[in-house]
Amino acid sequence: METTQGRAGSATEDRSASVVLECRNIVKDYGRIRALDGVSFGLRKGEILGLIGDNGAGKSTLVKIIRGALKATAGQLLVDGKRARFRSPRDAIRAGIQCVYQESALVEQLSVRENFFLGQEVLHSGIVGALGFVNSRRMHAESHAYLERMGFDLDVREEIGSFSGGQRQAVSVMRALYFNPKILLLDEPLTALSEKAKDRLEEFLIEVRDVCPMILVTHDFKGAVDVCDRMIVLKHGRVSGEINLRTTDLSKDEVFDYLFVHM
Amino acid sequence: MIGTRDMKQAFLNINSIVLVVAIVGLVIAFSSLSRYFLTWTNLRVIIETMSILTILSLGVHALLVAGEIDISFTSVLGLSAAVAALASPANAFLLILYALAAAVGAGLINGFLVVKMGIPSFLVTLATMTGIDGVVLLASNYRSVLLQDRLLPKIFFGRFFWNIPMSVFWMIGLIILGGVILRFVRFGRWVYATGGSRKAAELMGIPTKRVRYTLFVASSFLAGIAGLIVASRSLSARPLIGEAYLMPAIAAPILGGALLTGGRGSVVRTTLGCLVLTIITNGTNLLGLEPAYQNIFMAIILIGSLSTQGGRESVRRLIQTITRKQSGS
Repeated sequence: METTQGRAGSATEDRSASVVLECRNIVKDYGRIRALDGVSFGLRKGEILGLIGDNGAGKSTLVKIIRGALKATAGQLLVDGKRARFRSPRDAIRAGIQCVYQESALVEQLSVRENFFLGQEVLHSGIVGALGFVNSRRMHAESHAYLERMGFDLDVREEIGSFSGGQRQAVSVMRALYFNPKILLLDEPLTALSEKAKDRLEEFLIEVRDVCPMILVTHDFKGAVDVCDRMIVLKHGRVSGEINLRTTDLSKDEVFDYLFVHM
Repeated sequence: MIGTRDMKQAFLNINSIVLVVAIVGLVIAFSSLSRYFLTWTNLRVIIETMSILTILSLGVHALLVAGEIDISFTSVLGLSAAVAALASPANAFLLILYALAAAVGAGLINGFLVVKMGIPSFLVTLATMTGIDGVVLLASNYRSVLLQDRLLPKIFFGRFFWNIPMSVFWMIGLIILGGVILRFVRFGRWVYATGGSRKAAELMGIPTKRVRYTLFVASSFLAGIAGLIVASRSLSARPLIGEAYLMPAIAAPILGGALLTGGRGSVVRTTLGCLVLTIITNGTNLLGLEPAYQNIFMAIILIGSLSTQGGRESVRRLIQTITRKQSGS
């Protein structure tokens, strides 16, 4: 693996920053095919880490392992330095990993507030809650207040299907952030959006990166360069390159060249 | 005000409007054609007849919301009735236990084949329906079996209040239970999410397999209760007795707006759908029409309901947009 660092010697600075998520020698085999072959990297506090690669590079497999949808054949996943073993996406959510997907993971027939708390419904307290009764009033108030605070004035009672793609993806990102995740995993979140919606969401992600470190998975490396602090490149299931965009001496075009060559 | 707005939307739902208009229209039509229609005795007959259909429809409806279908409920009804009758005489509670255990067993098989094996639910339940019918025919030797118990018929069809059979109270209880679970309990949200977009639900950590499995068992359990009611009403179990409910029990939730693709449906509207279908059956009986006409009406209603689903969805969205504009959001 080849890396490029800036002259400022920020490698030392970055290493000292605490690592929130670490993948150690992750291997994934599908029968005789090795999809991931010893992938190792760390996500640090306050950064947006770009994970790029061509189709078949192993991005989706890695994302599935991090979000608990797949088990690695070998290797370790550490959250806050502790070994994490996810048996389902629910385990990953409990460990503080929230995901935003390209297709938004929203149910069109449900309202904004129902989607906002999808799979993480707020229950009443006491015996009523123990019976599984959801606290709709609280879900309504909290989703409405949070979206409004973040600058999205939506009627949370409306079905999500009646909103635009940009608004839906915004709800998806807000939903993930609302639960104060340790890590936000963004799996091609900008692909289906218009340019305007994309710009707005990118600005928003940069604003909130200090609150929540993120992994941005994308094949669009040119777009990701404007958002990410650091990028790693996956190729044939291995990390083929890494670049720190905060400290690199390379020009934008040289960064593109570097990423393109390593993809 | 969440409640007011939600109530308004529910009231303005196009499916509710269509059903209420249909009920009013049918009542006016049949009461003008038959002087017996609007009598207390006939209304009691309607609600009695409706009770078994509604209990079956509740299970079908829940599975439709989750994007699945179960057509084996007719056989499970027959199985439950046959088990209770064949095991009698015995303690009534044991009979209930045996009958419901058999029904739940059928649900577990359906759930296993659909959820674990990944076979489409229509094909699975078509096969189990045929298989269970065969088992019941063999076990009962192709004949009706007498239910030799006094308590069981009282539990499921006893007339303790206003000469109304217990089946009606079972129906009311189960409607409330089903409605509350689907609307106010987390599991209910998961059912709608599973049917609306299984992929999205799974990505958000909802155990969609468990949801679907549970619903197959619940549907069979409800068919088991319906079987006990049928056996209690006729004091016997006749093989293939559930066949008559196949069409109306599926038509009722669809009439109430449940989509075959999942994600939509309402317990209240399913109940209204059952009422519409029962009124039609009852009214045509009173008018002395041949049962064949009921089949034709049933088919027309189901096809009509399915073919207008797209249109009703569009109208529903239009009403939603208008109310949103009116409320200024």
